[in-house]
Amino acid sequence: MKPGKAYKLAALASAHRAKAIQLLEMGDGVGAKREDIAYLDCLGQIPSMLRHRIGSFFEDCLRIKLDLIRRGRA
Amino acid sequence: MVAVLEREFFVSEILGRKVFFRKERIGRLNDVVIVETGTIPEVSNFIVERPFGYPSLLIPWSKIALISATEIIVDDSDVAAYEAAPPEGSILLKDHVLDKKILDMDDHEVEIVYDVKLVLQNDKLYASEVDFSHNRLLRRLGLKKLANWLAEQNPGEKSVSWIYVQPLPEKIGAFTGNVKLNVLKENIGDIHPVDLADILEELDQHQRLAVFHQLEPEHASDTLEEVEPRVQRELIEALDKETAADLIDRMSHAQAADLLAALPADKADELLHLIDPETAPKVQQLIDQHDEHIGLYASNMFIKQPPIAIARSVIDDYRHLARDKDVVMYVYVVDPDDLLLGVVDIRELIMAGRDQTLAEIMSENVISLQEDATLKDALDMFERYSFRALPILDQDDRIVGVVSFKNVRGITPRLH
Repeated sequence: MKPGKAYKLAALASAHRAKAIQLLEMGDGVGAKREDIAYLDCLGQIPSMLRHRIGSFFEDCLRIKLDLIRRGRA
Repeated sequence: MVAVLEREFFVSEILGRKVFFRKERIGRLNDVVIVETGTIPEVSNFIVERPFGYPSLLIPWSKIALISATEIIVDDSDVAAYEAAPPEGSILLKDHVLDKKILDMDDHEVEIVYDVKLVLQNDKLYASEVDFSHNRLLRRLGLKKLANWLAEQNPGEKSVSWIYVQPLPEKIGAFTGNVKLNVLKENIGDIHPVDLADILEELDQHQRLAVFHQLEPEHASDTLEEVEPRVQRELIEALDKETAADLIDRMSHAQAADLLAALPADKADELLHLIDPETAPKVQQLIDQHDEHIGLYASNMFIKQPPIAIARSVIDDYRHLARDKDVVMYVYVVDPDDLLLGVVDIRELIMAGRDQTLAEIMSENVISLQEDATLKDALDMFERYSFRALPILDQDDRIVGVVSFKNVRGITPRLH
């Protein structure tokens, strides 16, 4: 897998994870579970040798996504 | 006067039918000879095959008395009077037309003839239409039910009037001194070089050469520009050097350079010496340019962003990001080491959700050039993909520059 594809999957995974957290906070457990499944699906497609390399990218993406969600809510 | 059960029938339906001279059975119908009589060819003779050891018969249409569902009756009894071979240059429907490729002058396509429709009018028999439908092929193979089913499924399968078709000779020299090749020559001049190039690419080598040799020099030159490089090489190889040089002289400098660049170097050099001495240096210069390093045409003034950048921020900062840049229609997504991860078209950026990261919306399968690519490689890539710019990568896939189409099109008028 090319690094670009791994970055894209990590970015999509972070978007699903952020959405799952948001839905859970809003009390939508079913929607949150659906988003978490999509999140795991994206992460699962990334080969293990690339996961380490983009681990911090995923965490940065997730932090920014949650920040944007919270600011949007405010 | 001839009697027939149907006024219209297909040639495949009567081939092989028993032939009687009055009441004596003398053989089977083997072929049908046609002659040009204006727009639609007329049947002039039937060729009758006889048992082994007996010569074939050439029976004039005027001697045919009856074509029934099972037999053909000739109104004569003197068999020996018809022992003859068809004259040279005759067009035989079975031997020369059935299952052969035909140039459909209406659609400018090459088709295979599966049958020919014959029509009786004023006691004369005409070859009125050729049938390209698989339906007719299946009928000839005896698969009537399948043919009927197919006809229901594909009612659009076609037959066209003979006036829109021309047989393509299998090789040069076939139909010697014949009418059809002359007709072909007259009509083929009406076909646009782009369409003719498509036709030539579909033909086999002999047919392709036969058709190409019929073209007027100007038309041949225009057509040669349009065919794919493989066919260009083949046609140039088949022409004598002076003719090839004459065709190249009729092209623009850029087109001549494109053609010569597709040839083996020794052949190209040989032709360069034969073309107009005033033109040759300009063409040579363009060929040399084709081999130039793409880096000479590249820019390092392009927009690059990290994958974590948010679409909204990039759009908000776009005016600032694009300032002084040569390539502004794409945002290249790179990691901290400038490894190219993906590319985002400015339209995709505008269409994206405002909170999406570039990594989410980028195309990660990027078409790119390697550092050692030539201008010719870049032009081929632009022609193939129609991108407005292409990134150039080093051996570690790090982006080192971008070449834009607008920077190279000035030296390749053919791509305008």
